[in-house]
Amino acid sequence: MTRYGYTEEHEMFRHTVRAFLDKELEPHYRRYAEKGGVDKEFWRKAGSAGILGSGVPEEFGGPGGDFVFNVILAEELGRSVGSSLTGSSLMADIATYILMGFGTKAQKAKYAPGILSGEVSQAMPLTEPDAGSDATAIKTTAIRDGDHYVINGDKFFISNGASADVLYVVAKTDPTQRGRGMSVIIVDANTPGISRRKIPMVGWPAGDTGELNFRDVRVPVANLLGKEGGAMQVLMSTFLEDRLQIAARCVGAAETALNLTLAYVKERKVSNQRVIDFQNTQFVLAEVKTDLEVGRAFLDTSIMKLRDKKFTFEEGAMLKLWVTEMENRVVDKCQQMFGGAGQMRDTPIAQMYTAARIQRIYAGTSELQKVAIAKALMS
Amino acid sequence: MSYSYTKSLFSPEHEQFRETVRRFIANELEPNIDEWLEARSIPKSFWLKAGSAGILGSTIPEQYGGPGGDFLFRVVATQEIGYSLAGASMSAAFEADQISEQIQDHGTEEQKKKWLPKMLSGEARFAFAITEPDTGSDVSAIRTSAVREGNEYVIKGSKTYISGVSTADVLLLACKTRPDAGTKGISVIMVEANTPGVRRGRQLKKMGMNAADTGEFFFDNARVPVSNIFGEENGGFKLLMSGLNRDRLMWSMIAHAAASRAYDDTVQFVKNRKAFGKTIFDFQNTQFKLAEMKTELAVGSAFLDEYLRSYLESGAFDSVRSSMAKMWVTEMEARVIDQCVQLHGGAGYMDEYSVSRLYTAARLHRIFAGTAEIMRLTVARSI
Repeated sequence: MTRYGYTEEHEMFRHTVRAFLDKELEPHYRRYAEKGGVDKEFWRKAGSAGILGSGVPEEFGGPGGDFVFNVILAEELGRSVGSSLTGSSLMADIATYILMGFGTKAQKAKYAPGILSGEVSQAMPLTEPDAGSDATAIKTTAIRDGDHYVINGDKFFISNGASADVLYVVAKTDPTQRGRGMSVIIVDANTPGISRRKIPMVGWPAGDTGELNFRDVRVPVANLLGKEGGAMQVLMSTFLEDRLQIAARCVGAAETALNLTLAYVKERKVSNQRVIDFQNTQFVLAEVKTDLEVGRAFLDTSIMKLRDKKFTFEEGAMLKLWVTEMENRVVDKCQQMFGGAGQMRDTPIAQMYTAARIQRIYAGTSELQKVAIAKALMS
Repeated sequence: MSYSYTKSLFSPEHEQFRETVRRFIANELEPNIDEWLEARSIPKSFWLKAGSAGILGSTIPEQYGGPGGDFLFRVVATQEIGYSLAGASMSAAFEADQISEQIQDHGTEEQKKKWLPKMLSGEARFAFAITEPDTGSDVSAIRTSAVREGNEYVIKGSKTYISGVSTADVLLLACKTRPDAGTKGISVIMVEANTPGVRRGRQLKKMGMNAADTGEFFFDNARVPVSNIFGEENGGFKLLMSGLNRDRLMWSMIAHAAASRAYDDTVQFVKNRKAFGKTIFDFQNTQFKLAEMKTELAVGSAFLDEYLRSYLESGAFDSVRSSMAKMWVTEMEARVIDQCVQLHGGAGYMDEYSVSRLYTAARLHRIFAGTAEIMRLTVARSI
């Protein structure tokens, strides 16, 4: 089916990303899983292939592309079986948009080359052990001391947190306030006082979901990203984009799950029939295909709206809610059709199943999305 | 209600026509629907009024006296009837308008000249007659026969579940002109209902959609001129399938509009109804259910938008996308309307609340114009 919302340039980028992932991720993901993460080499190759830092303006050496490029990157990542093992570490590009949106010229100039080349990976520590859906309940502080901020606190469940080179730490510069007391501060990961580890998660054996502890970490005041007390504004600035790229990832993954399943049910025999010859299989495949196409249309029309600057917060919430749940339905139905084979730990469909589960939780739980949608009904 | 997710497909002319249709429904249809429910049919006078108001045949070309509108005019009329409460009792009768497009696609010049002006004015009401007591989904198994005798076809058999048993003037009858050739032996023949040998059966009582007169037709050696063939002899199956793709898209739109109506009425209801010291809306479960429904409606809108966009570009409907649309949207409609009834509590079971009629009407949407199972078969074949 023709896809609307994308330009020729976007489609060329999609080809480039696809070729890169097929060469550098798909044949290697098992090795990355054993290692517990991707190589630094992987990032550098991604940089050379030109797929990182799409949002970096030409002024700083970047391609100056719109966010749709990042959405395409996300979708092709989702389409790769490998991403069900690596998780969202490769989509830390959202952080680039934040830097480009709120950074000073000096901050952008400092990090842009590394982002583009793959030398510099990013993470955005926000969530804490006691603050998830309610972001304003964070307790990490960044207290002014002369011309430094001193950061103290613990962050948890941070994508790319244990391995990133640059951290955009969200902390309370004014602990007496809630939202208005929060600021984003750029922290180089090798600053003294930071300890971190990877949290073992149910999925993503090659991923990085990090725990970070900050003990009297001193950073120059010049590292403030945006305004003091302006963290909420910074976070909301990529609210829509974050939901779009997650939805895109889910659409790519759902399609791969269907393709893997089709191949399997055409081969596998039960009582002298191929699994695909049973009517139930055909009907479930039809439901899966339809669910997926409907989700893809929702994604593509959302992109059209984003480009027209008509995509609302409520619509972003609807997109994330529905498409993540679609992917979960699809992957679950697909895994069922594999029978026992789908339960073996290292098979693609089993990996995709565990990777799908978190989509309904991170970047705003399904419940939080419903709260956002319902809020619009309250007037 | 969001009619177009991207809001860019309809022009001001389309929106003006939408207003016309909406006003017509409010003034001429809604006030009379309860009476017509009792009568279990809609009087010809209504269709004549609809004709005069320019509601019917919006895609009929000017050379046949029509307004020569594009497909989007019919889309807006369809959305409006789908959204109306009266639609829950008779939308099938309105959807018969698509037959004017079938005639444009497949009719001879003579047939077009004879019938299009009458469809435009509301004078001639048409109905497709395909289903038989023993044949629904498996169209190749129909038994009504048309045997050629000189310049006439002699027709024998019966049809059931036909919308327009009391009110249809002309049937597009699917019959076997070659009895042992399966789908390759089917022809569609125009049969005027007052032809000797054509008998109207009784009106059937249905679960819902009761202002539509549904029933059986009997053909006892009815004779029609050979020139009444519609499309090619033995080419009827292909003709029927081609119309179905458009028809299924239209039913998806009606289903979507009806679900939107149920949702909108439910939001109003829960904001006013109280329990345990708050409004029903104040409960988190209500808010979450409304959020889920609103989301499903937006998803459906986006899918239909994309299909329309593709149709406008290519001029073609496709069977896979139509099947997906009908399957998904009617099932979404069922989920949404069922939840809406639930949120109404006891009131949702009462005829005086819109959701009650919308619920019974919705049940049929997953069955006619291609069952949910046939939709799955069609989509599965394409994978």
